[in-house]
Amino acid sequence: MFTDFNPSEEASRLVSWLKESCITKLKRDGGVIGVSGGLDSATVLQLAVNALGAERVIVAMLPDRDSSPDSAKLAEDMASRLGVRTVTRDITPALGGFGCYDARDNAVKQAVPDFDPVHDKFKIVLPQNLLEEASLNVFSAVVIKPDGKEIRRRLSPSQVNEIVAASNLKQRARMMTLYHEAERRNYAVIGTGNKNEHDLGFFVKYGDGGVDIQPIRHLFKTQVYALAKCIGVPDDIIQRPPTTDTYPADTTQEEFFYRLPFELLDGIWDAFEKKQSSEKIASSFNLTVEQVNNVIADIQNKQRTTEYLRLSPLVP
Amino acid sequence: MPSLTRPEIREQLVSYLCESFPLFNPAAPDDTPMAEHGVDSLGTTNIVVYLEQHFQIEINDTEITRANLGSVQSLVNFIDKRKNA
Repeated sequence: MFTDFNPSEEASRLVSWLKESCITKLKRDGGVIGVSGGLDSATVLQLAVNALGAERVIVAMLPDRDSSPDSAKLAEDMASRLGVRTVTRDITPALGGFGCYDARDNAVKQAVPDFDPVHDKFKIVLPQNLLEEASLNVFSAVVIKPDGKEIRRRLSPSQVNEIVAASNLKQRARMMTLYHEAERRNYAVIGTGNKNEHDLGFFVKYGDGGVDIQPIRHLFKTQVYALAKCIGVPDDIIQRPPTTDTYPADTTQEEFFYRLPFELLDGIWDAFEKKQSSEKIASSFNLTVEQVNNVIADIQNKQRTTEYLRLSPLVP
Repeated sequence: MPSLTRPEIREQLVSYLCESFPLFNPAAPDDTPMAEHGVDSLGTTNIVVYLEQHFQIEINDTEITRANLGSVQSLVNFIDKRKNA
């Protein structure tokens, strides 16, 4: 898989590109990065420091009440190791003002009347049997009671819309804060989205998608892992499972959106983009042709149904 | 609801799809994937809600598959099986 990808060469290319884009093209004096303690933001941070120098990079940590404390610790450790300045803004009060938590919790309560927002946790998940069945993407809420008991209910379209719209306020509040920190310094906002997020629509339009430059948008998550290892991102960040860090209960990106481990998803997707037949892909990954076709159908479906997110405003 | 013939199921279903999905093309072959009719994940959920309410059937998450709900043809087969088996 990715035999044509050389992480070391790619790192050098991206460092030059970042410097050229930020300083020469955008005419900014540096960059601001929202750092979550996850792999993508840590990788972009390391690249930005290599390109611009630590003194021209700001790490913004923008937790809300649902963020894992581990995220802040990992982000702080990395910023400290690199010697970059940090800004921390708790966006919980702003989100409370927007009505984010009330709207979201009320929608969950409609689906699971027994949900207690004060004591229970919840997450939103998709079916996980993508390889075994051509299951369609229907979201469910999983409420976790304090004793660990889980209640799972399928969400209606209006409940999904309420929860997504409320949750997207988080990414948009972060975008506003990043631009505030960037504009007061004449810096650019550097995005951390990868190819999986961008092409399959796992980002918020004008939220985490609202940035000036996107240095790793063309890279599969698996390639970001390889790049991260190559440029010295700490192991505790590389080994951490990617999470949404959006809902009160820990939710991996696999259970919320991708439905497959990245290695398998990216491998099948890359081979499909390189025009390999389903039969050949199935043989490479020790899968059946039907399983491969299920994965490809899910990729194409997500690309098709999220096209709106990638469009610029339409003009006549 | 009394048992329905397959043409009756299809007629009611297509009428609902035309009404609910602006991109639904009733002239397309019945095996056209629903995604090509502009049905996304929320659309699928809408269809599930409609089937449960209109045809008075209960649908488990494990039944929400392309084989059962992926096209007009598979939807008719699925409802026919659930209503008339």
